[in-house]
Amino acid sequence: MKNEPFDTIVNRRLSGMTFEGEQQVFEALRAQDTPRMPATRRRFRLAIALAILLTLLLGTALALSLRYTAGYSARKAADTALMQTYSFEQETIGLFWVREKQQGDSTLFTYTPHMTPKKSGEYQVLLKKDGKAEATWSLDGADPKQYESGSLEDPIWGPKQMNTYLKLKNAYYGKAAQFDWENVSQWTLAQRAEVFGLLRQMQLAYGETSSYKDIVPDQDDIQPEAARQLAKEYLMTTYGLSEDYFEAFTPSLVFQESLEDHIRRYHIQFRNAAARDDYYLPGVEIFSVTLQSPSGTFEKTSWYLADTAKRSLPAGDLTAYRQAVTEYMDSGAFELLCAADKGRLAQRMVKAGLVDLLKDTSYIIPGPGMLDEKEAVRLAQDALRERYGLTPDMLTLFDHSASLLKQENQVVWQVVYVGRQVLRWGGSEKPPIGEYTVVMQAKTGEPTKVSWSLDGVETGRFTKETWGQAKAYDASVLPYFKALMDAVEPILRKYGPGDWYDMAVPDQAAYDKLYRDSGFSKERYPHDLPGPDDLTEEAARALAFSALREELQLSEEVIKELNPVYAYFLRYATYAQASPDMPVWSFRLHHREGIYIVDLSAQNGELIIVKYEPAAAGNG
Amino acid sequence: MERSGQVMEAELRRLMQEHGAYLKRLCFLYLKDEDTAEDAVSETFLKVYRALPDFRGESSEKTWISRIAINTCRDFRRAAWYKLVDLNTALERIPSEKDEPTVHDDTVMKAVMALPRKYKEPVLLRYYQNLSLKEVGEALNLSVSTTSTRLTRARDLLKTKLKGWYFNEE
Repeated sequence: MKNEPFDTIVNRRLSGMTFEGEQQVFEALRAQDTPRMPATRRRFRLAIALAILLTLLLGTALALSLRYTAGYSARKAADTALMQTYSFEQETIGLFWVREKQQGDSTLFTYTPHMTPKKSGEYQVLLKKDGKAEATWSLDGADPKQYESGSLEDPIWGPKQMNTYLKLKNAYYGKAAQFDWENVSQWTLAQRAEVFGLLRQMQLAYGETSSYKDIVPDQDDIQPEAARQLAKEYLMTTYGLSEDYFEAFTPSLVFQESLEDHIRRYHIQFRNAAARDDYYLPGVEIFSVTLQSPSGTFEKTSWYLADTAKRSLPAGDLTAYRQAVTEYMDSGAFELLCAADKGRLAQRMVKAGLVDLLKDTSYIIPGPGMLDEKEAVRLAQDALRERYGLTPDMLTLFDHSASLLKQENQVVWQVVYVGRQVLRWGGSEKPPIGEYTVVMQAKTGEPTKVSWSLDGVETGRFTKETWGQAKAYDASVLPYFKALMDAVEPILRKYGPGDWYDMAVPDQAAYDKLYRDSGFSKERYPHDLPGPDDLTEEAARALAFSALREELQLSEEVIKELNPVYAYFLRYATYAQASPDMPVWSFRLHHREGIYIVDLSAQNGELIIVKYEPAAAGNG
Repeated sequence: MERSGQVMEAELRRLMQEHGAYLKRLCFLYLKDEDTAEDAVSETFLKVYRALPDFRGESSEKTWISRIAINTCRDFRRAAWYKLVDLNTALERIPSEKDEPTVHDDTVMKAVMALPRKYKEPVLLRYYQNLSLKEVGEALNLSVSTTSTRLTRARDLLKTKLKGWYFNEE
């Protein structure tokens, strides 16, 4: 046992200790689909508010009276009992996630706070058949001195603390919303110090701490303009770039002091025009540098390029460019090179003492007497067709990379086909199409290895209607998979990668139907179009607004500020009381950093859920 | 701009499956209480979810998540209730998965758990999360030289405590 690595000791000793809270995390996130309001939408706030007003006028005519499902009435009774017994405020109820369990004729509601469950305990309400409700707290037996002052410093957080916490955190979000975050990168250091100082004080009040603070430089510090210049020079040296390269880049500067070691650091970024709005767009390029002041020590640097293929390395000797080469290799840019360029770059790396970055792989430059890359790729495709039945059309779903390698004293071609990432793919980043590898003799093209990373995974027999259930997509499934990708692409193309929350109801329905028709579960793809017996979106929306007014007493002022409003029609939702017999209209109405949620039966308009998820519940 | 909720949730699920158990053990070693560690990991993943749109891959995923977990543990430790309520789960009460009828020798773990915070953090990240020196520095917002110094000091402390039992040079 002695001299065993520490992680081995811990993993063996604590092998029974696993994280069991996945469900709780998702419960906390459930119904919190919480995109902050994108900048573009903010600009149209007025137009949307006007549209909402028009809807409201229409809604007044439609919403004659509100009706409630039995579940909604029960939950409302439980909430009321909890509020009355423990003096919770209505809004504070949003800090809990609530589970419901039948106990004979009664229903037991368990309220667990999103935050600090240990010090706040859990609440339960037992709602009996006769409508009587009894609320209890898991810490009822604790010494009241531990929480009765209402201070957030108390070891136990009772209802007073939770009400206070919510108020303080909402005040923080309210204050934060007053600032112009769209242009935060252009704020002066003094502005940053003032705003973040204020917000940090407000965060401290409800117990959130941070490990640094924004500051302004004093006379001993490197001054901002000098810091920018030093950073640029450091980047030029690190990546072998000319000063001209930075002409199209805009610098931004942050100056902070660590509250632990009190080191003062500039965090400097240079962004190109494409990087102004979105990190994920093609063309985005961002340089980041951390510079200590006043010492002038550089700590970190990075060069982010959305388009990996555009990443470059300086010409000539690479000895001074370990950082640049490391990032190059980590980014996957190397894999995009042709075999000859891989071989040449590998040679330069070896010469520069950077052989460790090649991770024990010997790359060779193709020469006479060997198959050329084009031929090697063609033979690899033949081998994949023969072994796995893959056609060239199927291989368009993969990216390939060819390398000439020295393996066990033999020179071989290695061709790897890696499945492409699919946008909005559920379950994991990539669909289960795996990675194919062909290794062959460099001279003869004789394959020595043909493999699939998913060899051994049961593939089974599937049809066009059932293939969504497959665990690994082999050649029999890939045509269906490709057809689905081709079919959903025009729908996704209408929206930006981050704008799927905006997907209109008909597009949600069309998208999910394509998946359902392929055998994917209807619970995961539940959206549909309302049928002739279902409420229209307009009617449902009007009811939702009525519910907010009557159930949560929202003022017209707040109603006008709800933006954006997302509508979803779920025919196969599995939560609350939804069922195929009771399709649901679900609305998410954003107000500042919190979200109002209204779910109602699409058939008779009965309310299923009407609640507020404050930012303090984790929406921020 | 936001990433799709479904993509983010799928990503969160992957991250929880990949890192959940490791983080739970990391947080346990830090906080010395299993239930609190569970809360800290939940809190960590909620923070991870909220920060996903801003994760730009400037550090490795493991470094990034470890940093969030360590900061969460720090917050838990700072909280008044943590200081006042006895939360320690005795290591002896924690069974290993197979729960073989063997006597566990927890000397090393206990020694690490007893280190002062500033030394415990780099040790956990370096020797449990297996981060490089540079990554530990990134996770703790320390320079490489400070990280190295703290690890050296931590090893000195452990060497004293574990004299004659265990020591493994870096």
